[in-house]
Amino acid sequence: MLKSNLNKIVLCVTADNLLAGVWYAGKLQGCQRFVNDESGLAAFAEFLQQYQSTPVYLIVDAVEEDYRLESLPHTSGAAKRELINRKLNQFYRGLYYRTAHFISRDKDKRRDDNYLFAALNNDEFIEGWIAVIQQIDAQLVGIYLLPMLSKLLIKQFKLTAPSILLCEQLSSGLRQTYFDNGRLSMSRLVPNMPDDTSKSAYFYLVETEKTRLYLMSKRFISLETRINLVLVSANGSTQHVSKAISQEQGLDCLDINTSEMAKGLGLPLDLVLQKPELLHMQLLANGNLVDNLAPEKLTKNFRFRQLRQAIKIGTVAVGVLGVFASVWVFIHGLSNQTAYQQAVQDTIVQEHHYKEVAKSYPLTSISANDLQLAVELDKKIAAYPKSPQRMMQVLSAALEHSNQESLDNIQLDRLRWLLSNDSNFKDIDKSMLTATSSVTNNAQADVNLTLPADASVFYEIGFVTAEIAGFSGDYRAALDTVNRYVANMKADARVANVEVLQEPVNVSSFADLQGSTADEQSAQKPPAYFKLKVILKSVDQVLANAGGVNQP
Amino acid sequence: MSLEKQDLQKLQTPLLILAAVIIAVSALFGTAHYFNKNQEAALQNQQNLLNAARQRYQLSGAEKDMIIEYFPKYEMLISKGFVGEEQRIEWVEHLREQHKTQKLFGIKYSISPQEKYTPAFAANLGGFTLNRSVMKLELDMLHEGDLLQLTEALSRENSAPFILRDCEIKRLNPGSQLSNQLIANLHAICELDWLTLREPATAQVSSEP
Repeated sequence: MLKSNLNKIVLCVTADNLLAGVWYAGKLQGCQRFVNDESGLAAFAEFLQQYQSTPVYLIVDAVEEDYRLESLPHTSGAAKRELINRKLNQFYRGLYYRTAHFISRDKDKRRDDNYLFAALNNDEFIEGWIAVIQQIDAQLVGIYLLPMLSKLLIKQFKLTAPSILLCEQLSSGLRQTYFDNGRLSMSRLVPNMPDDTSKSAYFYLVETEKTRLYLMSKRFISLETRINLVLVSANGSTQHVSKAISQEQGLDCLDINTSEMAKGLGLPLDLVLQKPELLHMQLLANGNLVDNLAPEKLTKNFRFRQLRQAIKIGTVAVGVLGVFASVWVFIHGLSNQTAYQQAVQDTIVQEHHYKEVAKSYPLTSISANDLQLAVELDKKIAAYPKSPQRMMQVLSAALEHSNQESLDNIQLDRLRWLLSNDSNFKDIDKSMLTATSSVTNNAQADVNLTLPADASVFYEIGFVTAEIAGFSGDYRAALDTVNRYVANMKADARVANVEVLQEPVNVSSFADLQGSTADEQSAQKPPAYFKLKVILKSVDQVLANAGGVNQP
Repeated sequence: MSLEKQDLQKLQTPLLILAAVIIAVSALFGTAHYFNKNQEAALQNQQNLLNAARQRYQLSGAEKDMIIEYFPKYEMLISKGFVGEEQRIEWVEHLREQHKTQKLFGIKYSISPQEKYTPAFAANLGGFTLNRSVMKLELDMLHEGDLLQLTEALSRENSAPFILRDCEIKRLNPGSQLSNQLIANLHAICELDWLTLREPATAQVSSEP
């Protein structure tokens, strides 16, 4: 498979013969000429039989060729293919070997695409060779026009003149190819070259003039266009011709000797002298592909083989890569397995050490951490208040405040004590609501208190319902008593907050106020209830505050 | 390139071989990957166990000290009923005893079914489960001191821990002075949480004979 890929057969067909060259890894191995007759075809068939799996490249060097420059609207994809096919059918209807070569895109106006359409007008001279190729089932890669390969010579020789007429002496005759800014525009083959070298200059001159007139007729050049004539030969035989043309006609004429190039490409000079087209064949063998004239049907065999090869290469690549990747992953797994076994051993050793140490421990099924946790939890629970004693002490102390007037007339009727982490807890005292139905609740009751939000801290909250004993209807005095009681409580260091939820009388301008001026004389006096919400600081907080005060 | 039926037949064998190779390679890679992943997971797990074992061994001195310090206290918790099963009979007997010794008017009690309890103050319970039974007490009192004596007695050192959450004390005859006679003047309704810790299941199994 590898050998067949490195091997190449390049054929050059002229009107009367075929030159076949065999290349291996870019080096010419040998070449053979076959005459276009029955014996030549048979010999070619025999030759090709030896290289059934070798790619075959076919160059056509014949008079029967046509070139047309055409601008097409810029398109892409399927539209582009359809447009080019339509143009090919328009120009070369019924011709089998044809192609379109993209040249450039206009820089102004519609920015059209410029194409060179090329075709073989008459394919009779290659029919026999193609029949042999098909019969042998050879791997035909494509059919190429020799002038298209000449374009590669222009690049190789680094010729940059805007109008070049390349004149090549080939086995088939003199080939003149015109390049406009390095782009192939036209080519013609003059089959009959004079044998007498003294007439060469005149022959070249005449043929050049004919070409010039043709180019002008096709409007490729104008009358003023200066054409650079480039004469190519392998032995310098065109040197005197070049001089003669330059001196006598005043044309820009350049002679190029291809012997150095042939040497660089590894071609024997004597062979190149005999068969100058070997240079073009070498360029193709080196992988310089140009536009293919062969229809898909002729090259299908080669492309199908390529597809099969691609599948085979893909199969091998997938297999090899897959196996390598699997082995790599498996080795990684084995390494993990070894590390796992080592870790198991280490764990056993560590556990053994621990068991040795643990023999001296007191016997317990609970872990040391859990033991500590249970004990700490018990301590924590034990630290929470176990009775409303502190709240009672605060309420009592506020009643007995020494610096104030006596608050003996305050009578506590209800105390609700809570241990909660919600300092905004709301108490519902049904009995109070009934008794004070005529009194509107004070707006202060809705004031929310913000204490440190810690779900694990419990506050002692007390809701106190009390009344003014022996109330005579003096609401001012009653309010004063309640305010003093609240002030006494606020002065206590243990109290975090005191809130009056309900006063004996609601003096707010936003509430109803009803009563009778005869209340003082009435035997049945209305009760003067009030309600307070008291929140105590935690014991820790009280102790901390006391410590802070004592510090200097 | 358009392929005909004949061409496809020619490609059949290489395509089948390619498919077989892909399947075989996928299976091989999958097996290797599965093996590697398993080993990786096992190694990671074992590394964790090893680290835990190392740490346990390194901290064995401190662990021993902790066990020596806390084990006797833990046994105290078991004996007072904080760890283990609820001791409801003991609670009720304790209440009855308080009724007699404190010369109270009478204590009405109700204990709700035990439930799992996850308070904020005990976020980390290790292997333990914390349970609570809500107990409601209702009693008439001569004065507020009766309640204080009762709660003090319930929370003595050797009794199961509880949290008194809510207490409402009401004057039985609002607006009137307290009577000097031996009759109830106040009425109290209290709610408390009896708390018990349930040992980890492994410890319970290992402690069984």
